[in-house]
Amino acid sequence: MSPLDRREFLRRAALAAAVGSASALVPGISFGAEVDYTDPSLRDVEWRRTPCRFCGVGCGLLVGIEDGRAVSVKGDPESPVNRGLACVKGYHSVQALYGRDRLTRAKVRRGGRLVDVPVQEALDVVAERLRQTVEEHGKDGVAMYGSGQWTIPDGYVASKLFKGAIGTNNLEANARLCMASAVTGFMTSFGLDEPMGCYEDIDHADVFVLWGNNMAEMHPVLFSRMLEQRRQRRDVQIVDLATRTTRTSYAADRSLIFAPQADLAIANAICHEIVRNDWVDHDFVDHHAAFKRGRTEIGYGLSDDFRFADEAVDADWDDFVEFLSEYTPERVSEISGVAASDIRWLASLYGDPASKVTSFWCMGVNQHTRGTWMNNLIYNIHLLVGKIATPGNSPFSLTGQPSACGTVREVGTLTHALPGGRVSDQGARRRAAEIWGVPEENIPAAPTHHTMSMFRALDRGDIRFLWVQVTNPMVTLPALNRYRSAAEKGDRFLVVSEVYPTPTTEVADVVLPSAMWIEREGMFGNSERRTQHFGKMLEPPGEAMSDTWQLIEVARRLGYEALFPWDESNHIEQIWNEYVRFHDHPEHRMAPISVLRDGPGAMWPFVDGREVRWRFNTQTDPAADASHGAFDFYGTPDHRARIWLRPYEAPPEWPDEEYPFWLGTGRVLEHWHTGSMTRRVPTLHAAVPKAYVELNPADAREMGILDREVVRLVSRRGSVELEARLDYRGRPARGQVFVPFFDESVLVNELTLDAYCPISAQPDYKKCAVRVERLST
Amino acid sequence: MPICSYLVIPEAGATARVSAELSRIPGCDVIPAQNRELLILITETGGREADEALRKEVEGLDGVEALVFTFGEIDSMAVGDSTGFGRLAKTRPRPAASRRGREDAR
Repeated sequence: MSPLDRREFLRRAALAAAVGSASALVPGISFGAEVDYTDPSLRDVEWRRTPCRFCGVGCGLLVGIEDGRAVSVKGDPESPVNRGLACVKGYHSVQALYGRDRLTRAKVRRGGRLVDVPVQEALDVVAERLRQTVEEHGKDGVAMYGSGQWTIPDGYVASKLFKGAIGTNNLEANARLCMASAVTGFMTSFGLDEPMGCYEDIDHADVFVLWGNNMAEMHPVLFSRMLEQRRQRRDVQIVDLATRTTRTSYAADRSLIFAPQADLAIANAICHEIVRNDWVDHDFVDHHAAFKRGRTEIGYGLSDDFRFADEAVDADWDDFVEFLSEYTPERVSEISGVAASDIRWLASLYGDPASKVTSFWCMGVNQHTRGTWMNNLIYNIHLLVGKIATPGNSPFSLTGQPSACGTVREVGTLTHALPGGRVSDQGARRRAAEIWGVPEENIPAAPTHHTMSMFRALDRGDIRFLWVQVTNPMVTLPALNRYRSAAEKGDRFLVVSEVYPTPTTEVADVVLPSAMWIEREGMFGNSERRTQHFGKMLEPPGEAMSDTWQLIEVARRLGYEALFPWDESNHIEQIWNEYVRFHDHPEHRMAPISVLRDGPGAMWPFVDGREVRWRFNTQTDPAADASHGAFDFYGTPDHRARIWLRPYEAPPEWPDEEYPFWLGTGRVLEHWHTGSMTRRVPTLHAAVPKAYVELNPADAREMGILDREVVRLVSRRGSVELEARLDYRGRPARGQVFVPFFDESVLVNELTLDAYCPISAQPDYKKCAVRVERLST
Repeated sequence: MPICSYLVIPEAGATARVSAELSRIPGCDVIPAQNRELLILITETGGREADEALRKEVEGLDGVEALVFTFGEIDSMAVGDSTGFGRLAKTRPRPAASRRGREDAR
């Protein structure tokens, strides 16, 4: 690009970003024809619609294409998700396509080095090694690890290849690390996955309670929508309930800081107060809820042979009241550090019959050794007061990735799942076999490995071949040193489909160059059950190929041509039409591709040409049967939602004399996940160029640590060196530190613990014990 | 060649004056909204320090209630260039390579 082109490009991008922001802030604002993209410099730009490929909010973007290149981005004003707004990642998203070191050729390891080869040759190598591994080690000797950034067709084809054709349930996705507890929370409380409400709840709620959710940085567009509601309606309140003071805390009306893991106790204390004050919606509870008790002292999954199965036992109102009796605000205040009066106040917000309450949560609740329980407990609160499945009354679990819902949860790219069912359900297997055209016996009835178990199996040698697509596990896995060593073992074979070099491609045997986002056609499914389509707008660089087509190429080389017969020119539509057969019922019917192509997506269930905004509500959900009353929780056999008796239990590792600090990890606004894309965008990289450790200023003062001083952080599993920051993005409580994980030069997951929730198998990245060492004295 | 864009929110009744003052500053292009009291400001300066100085000058203008940053391109490398990321990646010490002597992929 010449200097003149570059300047013009930047001015257009700057103008588009400003117009987009202004339109979002002030709907209807006009800057005149000269700025409405009709001025001479923008006449040749074609604007095409796509969901953003960063984060799970699913903002609609319009990408400006000129001469085969993406030259600008603006928020899509027709998108009901973001209404023209976008965040800093969205506005800079297309620049992530053009990093200098983009992978354009396939690579195969020869003589210990990765060397360029034609992509067809690399695909031959992948297919041959996969076939050979199955022959020598059995079907369960091979595995695939995908992502919540997989498009729906990617995940569908992976499921069909591994579960239907090869016949192994060794299929997992990184969404296990970010939202598995949300799934098991939904399944145990409602029998069906994904939120009952939608983003429109923001327009109706009076109170927002954010449970460990730094929305100002992680879901900035939804956060802006909340702030706008508070600006318009003076009685709207935002409460930030968190373990660390963040930008969200500063913008909230109240910030309540609690000790790590104490959210379990706080949720039960809120229920305690709701019952004690008789704020219970007894009619709702009597008609629509059932009480259940599960196993307790359930462990943390730290050993390779750990197994757990929960056991639901019936309970009743009296059992629940007795269970809650130990969660008085005073006792919970001792556990949590939150004042008893604040706990009572929080309960009164939920209990006020005149207010509508929406709870939001994401990783703080899900990445938790009792993540499923925490999801259950938030639902308990909403069920007790009957504030659920109506506009503004919404327990809303947000996701982090653009298609964690659409691909991983709905397609079912997890070991226990099938599209529209579970492998353990014979009916689901029969249906899958019928649609896929494979013998029912091909699909094993037993799940094999969840993600942590899969990488442990790779370490032990039970798995010998692993294909990774659209994710970077050599940065994201907890207790990383063990799992990197596993991948580096000489007789393991690792295939990585990627767009840039990463620590995961560094240890690969084959690297396949992938087409990225709008370089291919696909669909994502966001947090509010909205499926959004995007067309191919650009040619991928070099020999880069979509992940969907890579899978099809390998499947055909393995002899499964008949199962993957699609035309390259129209395969996404053909795959979609096959996939939606799995969901062809009123509880989950998907929109036809013609609807997805023509508009800003559609929420499922999509019934009789209309999307369902509030599920289980007999006024709004055609699948809900009014004979059950105003609500029908049709995912359970008795059509009742579950109120679970889930106690507070301590985490597996606590700060002690040797490791006196809690370590929590997370993200920053400017970077997406491991930074492999956003760190190649100059503006985003310049904004936050490297990882850092946030310390509480009082702790830093006691240790004599200054802002920007390099320190060493040490856990029982590893150590990293990085800059200390004081009052930078956030402020941890005393005795806590925080590190973002986007920086591959500071692998904070070498410190984290691979303990997980025994029900969801999702690891806890928010709590382990570390010490801080000064490097200079 | 830093290029940035901002939304400028003037104080009540100060839009025209702020717009005129901004237009007089070298490197500033102002686009006023036609139906609201809001301005788009696009700045183009010769380097990082000049950019920072200009931003402070705009912030300090009488009548500017708020300045909202919407876009910024600061580094002097071509769009699409890497950010030095690759160099960062290579600075991380690697553990002893157990792949040494590993068989070829084919």
